[in-house]
Amino acid sequence: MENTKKHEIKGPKGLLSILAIQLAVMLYTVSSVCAKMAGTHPGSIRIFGMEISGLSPAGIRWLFLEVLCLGLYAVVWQQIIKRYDLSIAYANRAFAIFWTFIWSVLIFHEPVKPLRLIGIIIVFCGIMTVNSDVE
Amino acid sequence: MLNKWNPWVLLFALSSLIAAFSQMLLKKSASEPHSSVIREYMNIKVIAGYGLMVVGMLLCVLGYARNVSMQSGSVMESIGNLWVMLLSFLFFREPVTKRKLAGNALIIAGIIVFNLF
Repeated sequence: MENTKKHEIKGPKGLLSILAIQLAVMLYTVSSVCAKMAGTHPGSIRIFGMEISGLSPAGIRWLFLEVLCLGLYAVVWQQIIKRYDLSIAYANRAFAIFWTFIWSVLIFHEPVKPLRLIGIIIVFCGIMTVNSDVE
Repeated sequence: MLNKWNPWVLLFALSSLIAAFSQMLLKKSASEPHSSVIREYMNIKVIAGYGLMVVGMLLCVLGYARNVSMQSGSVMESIGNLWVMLLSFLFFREPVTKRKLAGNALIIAGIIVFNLF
């Protein structure tokens, strides 16, 4: 059992905490945008004579940006899971699916299909149910 | 229907499994006392945790390179909650409650609904 004191998500401070966690979650989803950008740059690179397909030099730049986002996220997330229960952190991370959905439509022009959206909402409800199981 | 289903989306399920392992390492490290802030980050568990996360991210790039849509990828990644429940039980003996089981059943149902249409 751990003895570290956890912050409570209540009042204006709690609201700020949620905002901070959501910003971290958004950062996490931006790293996914970079991953998609890296993956959708077709081509190949040659490393030590080995052909690696799927990552063009332009893709590599996106990959670098992704790692940068991930690094920044790492610093923030480590502080978040230190201060809050994993369940609270993960409850907020549930919203990542909506952030990703927004980016997919706005940036990659993926279609908004009602039944797929229902699937996403069911997944979201499932994640919230899992994370509402707090002692 | 399923004829448009891209099997490469399964890479995202594998990626989330790797990410769940990384969360276990990070949680282990976060719950241990450290002599300094630098030590909080520069220790084997945190480095291995984030290393695993990078491996997971590379798998996602590979998936996207195989025409997996961002929506499909993110929905499949949500199976990570199931992995976290199972691994939390294994590593931290966190109980597998009915609510967690119900939530994960909903997640699986959502993934199926999403992939059916």
